[in-house]
Amino acid sequence: MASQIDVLEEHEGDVLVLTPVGRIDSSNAPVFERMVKDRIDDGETKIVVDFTKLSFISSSGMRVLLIGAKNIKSNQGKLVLCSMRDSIREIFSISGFDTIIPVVKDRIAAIDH
Amino acid sequence: MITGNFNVQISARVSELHDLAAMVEAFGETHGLPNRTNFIINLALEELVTNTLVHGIFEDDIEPKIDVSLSVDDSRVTVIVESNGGMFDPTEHTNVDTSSELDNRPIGGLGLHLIRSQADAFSYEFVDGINRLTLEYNRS
Repeated sequence: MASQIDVLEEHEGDVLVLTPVGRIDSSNAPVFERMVKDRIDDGETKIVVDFTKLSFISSSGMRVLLIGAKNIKSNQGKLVLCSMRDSIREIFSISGFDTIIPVVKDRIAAIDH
Repeated sequence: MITGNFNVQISARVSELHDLAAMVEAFGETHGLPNRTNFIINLALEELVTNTLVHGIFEDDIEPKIDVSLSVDDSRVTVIVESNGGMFDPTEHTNVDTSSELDNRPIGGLGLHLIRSQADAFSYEFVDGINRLTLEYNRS
């Protein structure tokens, strides 16, 4: 039984901004994965994931973003990440994810990306 | 400098991760550990619990169990994680692709890479049917 995750959803023009709250770990990553997949299947082609309210993410959550980036790219879309705290930014760097998924400073930069 | 230690046994269920994270954070706060250290330890524990569930082999009447021990002294934080479920040597599973383009990037294999990259020392032994992984983090 997967745990839930609160995710704020907002549209800024044609960009969908998702703001997950709290933690994304192996207990709730499947729920977040389903949500991201549904939005891409619904036709969203510009998605920003805003990390402002995210205190923790594990490789399970990073995997969701990698899958999302691959899926949205196959629809000629783009996934952009923003507003990471330093400890999260560090693991995106160690993993090399920041070389394949754009990571920018804040939401304004993400929407303009 | 405050020194201390902390021990907890959990059943390896992902639903227990939030409670474990809260305990680690409370321990870190008590001992003045930086947020980065708390984050790294919580990440390691999450990855190891998940690995035990994914890779562990449990007979019908055996429950997954993970013992977590944290200790801190002036120079380092030591995390010892003991788990059942058959031998799983994480030192054999640390090669991960961190450089391919998006289309070719494999999905998975990342957790142990993160643990090993962030620990200042990393050792594994398998004793009496228990996996024991020792992680050390310098305090400076």
